[in-house]
Amino acid sequence: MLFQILSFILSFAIANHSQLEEVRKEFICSMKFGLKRFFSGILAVSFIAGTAGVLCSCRRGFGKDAEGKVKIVATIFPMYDFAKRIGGDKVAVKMMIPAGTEPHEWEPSTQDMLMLEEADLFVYNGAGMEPWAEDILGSVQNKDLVALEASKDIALLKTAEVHDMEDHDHEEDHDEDEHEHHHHGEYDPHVWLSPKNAEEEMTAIAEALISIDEENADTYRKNLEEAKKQCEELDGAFAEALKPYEGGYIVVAHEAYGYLCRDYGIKQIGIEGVSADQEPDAARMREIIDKVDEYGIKCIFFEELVDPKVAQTIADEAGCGTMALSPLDGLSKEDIDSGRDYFSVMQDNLKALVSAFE
Amino acid sequence: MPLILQYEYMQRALFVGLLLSVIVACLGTVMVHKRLSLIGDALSHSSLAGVALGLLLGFNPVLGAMGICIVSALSIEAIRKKLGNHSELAVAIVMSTGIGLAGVLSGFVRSSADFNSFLFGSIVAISGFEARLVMILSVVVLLLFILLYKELFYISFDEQAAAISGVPVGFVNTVFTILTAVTVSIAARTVGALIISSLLVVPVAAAMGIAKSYKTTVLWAIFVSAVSTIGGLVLSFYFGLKPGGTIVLLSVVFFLLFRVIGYLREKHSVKKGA
Amino acid sequence: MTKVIEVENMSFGYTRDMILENVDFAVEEGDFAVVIGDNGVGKSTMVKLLLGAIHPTKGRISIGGKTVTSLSGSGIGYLPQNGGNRAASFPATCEEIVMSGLYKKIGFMRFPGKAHKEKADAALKSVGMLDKKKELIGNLSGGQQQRIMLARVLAGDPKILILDEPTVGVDAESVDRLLHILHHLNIEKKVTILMVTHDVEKVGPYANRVLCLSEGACREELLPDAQIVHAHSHSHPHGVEHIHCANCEHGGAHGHDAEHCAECGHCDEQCGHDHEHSHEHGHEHDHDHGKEEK
Repeated sequence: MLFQILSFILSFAIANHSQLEEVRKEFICSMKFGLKRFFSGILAVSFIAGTAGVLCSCRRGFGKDAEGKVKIVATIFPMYDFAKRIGGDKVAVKMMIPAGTEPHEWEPSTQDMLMLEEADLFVYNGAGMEPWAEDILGSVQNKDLVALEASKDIALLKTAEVHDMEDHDHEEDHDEDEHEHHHHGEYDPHVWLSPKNAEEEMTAIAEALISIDEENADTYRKNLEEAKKQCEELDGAFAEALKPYEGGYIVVAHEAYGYLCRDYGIKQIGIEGVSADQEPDAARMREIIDKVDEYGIKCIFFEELVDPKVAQTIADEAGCGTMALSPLDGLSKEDIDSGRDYFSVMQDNLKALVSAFE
Repeated sequence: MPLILQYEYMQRALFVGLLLSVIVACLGTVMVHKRLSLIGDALSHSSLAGVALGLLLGFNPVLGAMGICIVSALSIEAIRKKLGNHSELAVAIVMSTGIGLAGVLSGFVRSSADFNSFLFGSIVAISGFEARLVMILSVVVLLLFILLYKELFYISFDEQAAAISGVPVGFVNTVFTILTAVTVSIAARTVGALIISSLLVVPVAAAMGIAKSYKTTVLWAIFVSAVSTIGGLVLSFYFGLKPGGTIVLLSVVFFLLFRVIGYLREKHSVKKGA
Repeated sequence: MTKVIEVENMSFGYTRDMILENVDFAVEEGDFAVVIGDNGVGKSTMVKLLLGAIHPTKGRISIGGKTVTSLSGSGIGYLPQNGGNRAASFPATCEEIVMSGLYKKIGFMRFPGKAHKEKADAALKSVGMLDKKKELIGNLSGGQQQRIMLARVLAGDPKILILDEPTVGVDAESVDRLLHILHHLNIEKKVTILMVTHDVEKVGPYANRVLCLSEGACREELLPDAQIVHAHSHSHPHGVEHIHCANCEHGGAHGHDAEHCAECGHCDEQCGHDHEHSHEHGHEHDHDHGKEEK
């Protein structure tokens, strides 16, 4: 990447050599006694920044490989993974939110919009996960674009219900927990963390694909069947492995596991906001520590994309361990490249959950 | 033992918070009078670029943040000198550069990371290593602040006159700029950027409302800073408030209170005089 | 007499246009030199050059035999122009500010002792501000602030004192007081004084040397030169009685009467208690001039 930047600058410098020289001369004249060095520094920085920005945006968009295939833009990793699974080699899928990015904070750029203009299908999770989705769909000019809210057929949990799954005793001093859920909206959007819901979402994606591309309907149906089977297996594995721990508690960084907890009869205690602008308060920390003691919880879960400092502090205080539990909304580039997918990550999650209860 | 002290994370928060509040008030007195009030904001935001750079080039992002912090602080100092009367612009320029750079560099970072969480800590989640780091830092800053008190006073009041009198202005400024940068980067990582950038300014502003000398300004600033930190933590612990915000708001309450006291006192003395 | 300030064929400009060109003058030890000139001729620039804040484009400035290269170490006392809002908002007491003037004596990274505090008190007393010691500088009037600044400079016992427009933004009484103090320093402590001012009427009588920085005939070319006017205060056109009056603190015995003194009004009360010593100083003064005339 660095090499690219350098060569780009170099080629630019050669092409515009005469102009640059003029600019430079002017600069030297006018800045003789003043801020010459400083401004040329700024100039260099903004120059690098500019070229970097250009380079950066070049990598988006469907390539030639996508010709003849259904072009899908998916927002977050589970959508991307599901679409690929159902579409197989008949589709080209692009993930809108780059790998390793916290999706809650993300917003689409102009390049992303261009990608949508090219696409045939836009798959988003919905339920408040991508609050910007409605806006961009309103401004996209691509009339043939099919937009699919994958969670449309799923009975959503209200965030309040998610909270009900936890203890009530701190509810009064924590009344609404605005802070935690404000960007999620009314419903808990992390539907895919329940294998049953994942199945629903994949079914919705398959339906959309069939409506767009009748020709390959059989492929999609076949892929869906396979995926459904995997989902059922996963569901069975979860149910079996977690059965002995019904009613047990897990402490998680982010209350993302509402659907999973509902399905398998466990309860989540979320540490409030873990990123910089969402610091936990001292009273909440105490509650969690007390609960960890009370319920004999052996492990605090953190998310891979967030610094595990808060989880570590609680673990140190309560004398327990920490482990990663992925909410799957943002998977790192390395993980995706190494072939990890929804099922493998969920299996890891299950292992982590079981070892936390053991 | 009161409930609040039974938890190790609270002990750590109170201890580290107290130490940092004291040194940040000292640094703040210097920075405010050098018209660099917003240096905390600028540095903590610029250090994002350091995190990105660290992740990009494969070294420790926290070290990257500290490096960029020092570079930014020295640039602020250098630009400030050139701009004369508009020294506060230096802060804005460096902050913009830092944020811009961070934004662009973050586009290249492929590894999994929520930037902010690696950069900004929380006062209720301090590791043992960080606590030790803050202890060392506090000793160094306090010692240098006391040793250089006279020089810093002179420079703050009249940099030119100080230079003419033979104060090694460049040296003292550089030392303090680096100290501020290191403090901001460590403190942002330890207790959060909000606390640090606010405590650099608000307690000093509060102290100036009632202080009757430079020395008492420093002492009152330390007092406000420390009481706000401890008070904020206690309130957070018993009432479930966000610690950072509570600490900052408490210091603002002190600011208002001290201004009112200062005003009343002035009015009173005028009456008495008349 | 040794030349303590030497400016040799010095030119300066921020851009290619020179503000000062081929300035050439010298100030000798014990001089009270006044640099006068209209607004915009480069008086303040001259001060900055002397202090070493900026450097000559051409030529040389030396103080005490050493070429001025930077702000530090020249050992001069500098009283900046009054009225900067700096002081008004700075939360320091007069004592603290005067103490800072003792920097050289206390030393780097060292703490002031009792002797330094006494020295600061003495400096405050010499400008008549001892009673305001604990006051915040911001609560004082412009003239009083200036006196505090002067006390700060005096605390360092400078051998050379440079003042930039000390009569601007200060009430008449304070100006008179300041000039008294300066005169006293000049005569008694042999402090070399260089003052930049446009107020030649007030200051002129105290000076023994007036350096006129002017555009002269070359006004349009913006090329001022320094004309060196050697002028002893006695022969200065602004009248002998002024000088005597100003000198009354030590010259009261030389048959000068109340009428002269009325010129400056306060001098009887203010300086009255100094009269005992005045004879000696007066003689010394005369002696000095005698020497110089030779």
